[in-house]
Amino acid sequence: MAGYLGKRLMISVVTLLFILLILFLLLQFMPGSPFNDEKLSVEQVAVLKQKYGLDKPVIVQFFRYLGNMVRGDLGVSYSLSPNTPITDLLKNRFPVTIKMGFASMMAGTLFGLILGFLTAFFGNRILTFIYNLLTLLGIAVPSYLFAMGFSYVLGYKLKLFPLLYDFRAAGITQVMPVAAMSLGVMAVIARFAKAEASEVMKSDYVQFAKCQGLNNSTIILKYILKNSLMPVITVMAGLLVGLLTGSLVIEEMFSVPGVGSLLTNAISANDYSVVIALSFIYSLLYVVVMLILDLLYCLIDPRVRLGGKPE
Amino acid sequence: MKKRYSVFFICLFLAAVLSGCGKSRNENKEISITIPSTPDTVDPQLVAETNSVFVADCFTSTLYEYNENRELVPCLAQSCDISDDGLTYTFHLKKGLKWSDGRPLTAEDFVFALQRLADPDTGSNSVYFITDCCSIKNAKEVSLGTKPVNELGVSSPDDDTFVVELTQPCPYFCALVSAVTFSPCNEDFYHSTGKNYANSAENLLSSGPYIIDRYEPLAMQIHFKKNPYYMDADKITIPGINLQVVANQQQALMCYESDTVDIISISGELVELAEGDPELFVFPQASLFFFELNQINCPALMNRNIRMALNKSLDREDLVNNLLKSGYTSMTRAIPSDFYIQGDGTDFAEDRERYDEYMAYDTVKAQKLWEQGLSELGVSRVSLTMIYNSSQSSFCEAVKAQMEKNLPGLDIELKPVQGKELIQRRMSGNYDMLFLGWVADYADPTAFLDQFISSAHDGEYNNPEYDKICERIQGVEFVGNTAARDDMMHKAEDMLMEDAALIPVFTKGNTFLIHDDIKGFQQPPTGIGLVLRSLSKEVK
Repeated sequence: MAGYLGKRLMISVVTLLFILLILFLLLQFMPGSPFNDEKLSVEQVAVLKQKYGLDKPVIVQFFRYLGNMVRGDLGVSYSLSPNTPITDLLKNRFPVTIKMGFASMMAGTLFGLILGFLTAFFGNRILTFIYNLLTLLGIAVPSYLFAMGFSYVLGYKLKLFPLLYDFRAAGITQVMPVAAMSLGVMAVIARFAKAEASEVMKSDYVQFAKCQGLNNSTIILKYILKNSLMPVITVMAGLLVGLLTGSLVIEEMFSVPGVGSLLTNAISANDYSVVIALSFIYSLLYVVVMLILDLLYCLIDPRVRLGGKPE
Repeated sequence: MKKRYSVFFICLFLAAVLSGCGKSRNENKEISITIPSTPDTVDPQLVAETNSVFVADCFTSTLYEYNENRELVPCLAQSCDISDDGLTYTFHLKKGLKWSDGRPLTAEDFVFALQRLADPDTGSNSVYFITDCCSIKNAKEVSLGTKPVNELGVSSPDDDTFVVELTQPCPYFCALVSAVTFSPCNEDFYHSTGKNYANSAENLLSSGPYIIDRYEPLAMQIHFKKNPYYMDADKITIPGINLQVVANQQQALMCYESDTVDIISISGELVELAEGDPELFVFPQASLFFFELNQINCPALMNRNIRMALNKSLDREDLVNNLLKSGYTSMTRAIPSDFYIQGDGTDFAEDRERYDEYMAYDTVKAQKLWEQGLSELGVSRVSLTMIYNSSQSSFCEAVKAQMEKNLPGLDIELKPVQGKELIQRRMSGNYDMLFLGWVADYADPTAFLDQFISSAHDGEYNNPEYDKICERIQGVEFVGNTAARDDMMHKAEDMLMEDAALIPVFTKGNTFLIHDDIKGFQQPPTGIGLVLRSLSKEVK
């Protein structure tokens, strides 16, 4: 186990370094520079580039950045919010996105599991209809349409929830964005949960348990739920990273000060340092989540053996 | 069990209703305004884009400012003496000026502000205000790091006197200093914030009607409260301002209609929806949207007949009325109206049809000129590349369709790019036609005319005679003779239009929805920023 973990960590670090290098190289191909302003002269742009060290060769910039990053310094923003340390920008924004991402994930997973399992176990006509309707909508309709619908009906017409995010009343103002984001999650989770549960219900060991005369609740809790959770967790990991990186449209619609809009704005403003920092953090998140996932596998399913010969 | 659930849901519902409604704008004495994107900075010497200027205007004052009638009046300055050669401006400050923490505001604060602006270490995008819009002595050298900041031509002989030395006359200098960029900055306070100046509410001092009391970089909600030390504090009736960033227009409109905000800025389709609404206001913006024609690298565009044919093949009215709609006005000249008042009291660009001979839509004449041009060039087809910001796609596609339809043998290749690439291409002259929006920073025609000087950047227009005229406009010749200077500026514009040096298309206004109990909302003639002193609200 420890050996496997060590190996995985090594691979992760190398992957991240590689991603960083690629990011640096890619940004060199981006047309324009952060300081292009129709009113600045060529010499003035050159002065700005020099101030931020962008006149140095890429490789020098890369190693300097790496050195600073190890010390926890992600540099300053060039054009999005000139001279503001990126750590400051993220410090305020990441917690908001993470809170909303987790809330959506929790809500979506909870309702998705309930819906999926209920339909699998007691698939009567009404339940199946609700299941079909919700999963179809959740998967087919993009979250911003839900957001628009909620805003119009719940926010504007019924005046139940505020239309904009307000940090002074973060709880209530988050309801609509979280609801809009969690519907998609719910649909995916519900479908996986139902499919897996139905599959497991047909399996030999469940049939055998039934023959042994175990009661239904024991079979469901002990055999079906546990065994159908594994694939669901795999999907959850991907969804979670997606939610943690924030949703550009949802954040923009409700004026949520999260990181989702930051990356797109940074790209169009050619703010290299913000683009690199955010992309790197996203990669880091992904790598970490995948690592945790692999470890979870072996906790849930003893058949998965990590990095060694079969015992 | 069932009962418990229903109690839970009722509680949830009540909680939502109670907190969801919040305070309606009618009960609130403060004013709440939405802006479409987050300001990139609120540091007065760094602000460049319109949203940042909007924010910075709330907490800064300048030597001169525009009042609610869009007239330039002294603000922090009591008066201004201009030397006979027009090169030295001596501003006498009002007595008893104070910063928002009570410390005295002196001429030294203006000196430091401009030195800071010029300093290459500050890295301000707005440095062109003192190197190009006007030329303060040594500003260029200081901004490029070849001279120390203390050699910049600004000084404060005493606490109440601020002196600026220019290298060439600048008749609009008092209008120029009304820009936020020229607002004062206290050196002691600046150094006390370390590297965090203007990064939070605590790290800012206010010289204007309001104090910023809630702010963080790229904030979505910014709050201002009244500045008790402001010189005219008794005239300010609004106790606070709440700026809320709302990128989504529909959302902003719903907030406006459900009475949670007082003023929203809108654009595009929403303006069309609000058409005829008495709460819709359009403020003229000193802007010119035009196609730059590369007359250095593109052989076809070096031909005047071709350039004129392109101009005359464009039905601007159709584009404005059917595609762009409210807030837009077609342009067949380089200077927008409602922007510069001449020495004799008339609008510089009152005559909107002045250049129709060269510019106005006329397919027959356009085709004739086009054929003439083609035969002079000895070709039967011309291909041009049109570069534009990808957000302008539908507009540029319509322009292409019109031009190609009216001018047989013309092929336009569309090339949408991102904003930063557009500017890069413009600087390097890498385009045939380039669609650009230009907003004036100060109320003088030279704000538009100067960009067509050959040395302004590579590509486009290159006419030594035009350069000479522009040089004369900026020279000592017309100091104190506004009428002659106005004539000369007309001459410069005549030359541009006769040469069909560009394809002017439209000018754009700023559109706002403002509730009827809000009075006195106004913008300066440039259309950038806002005039706050006159703002009032009737609280029901």
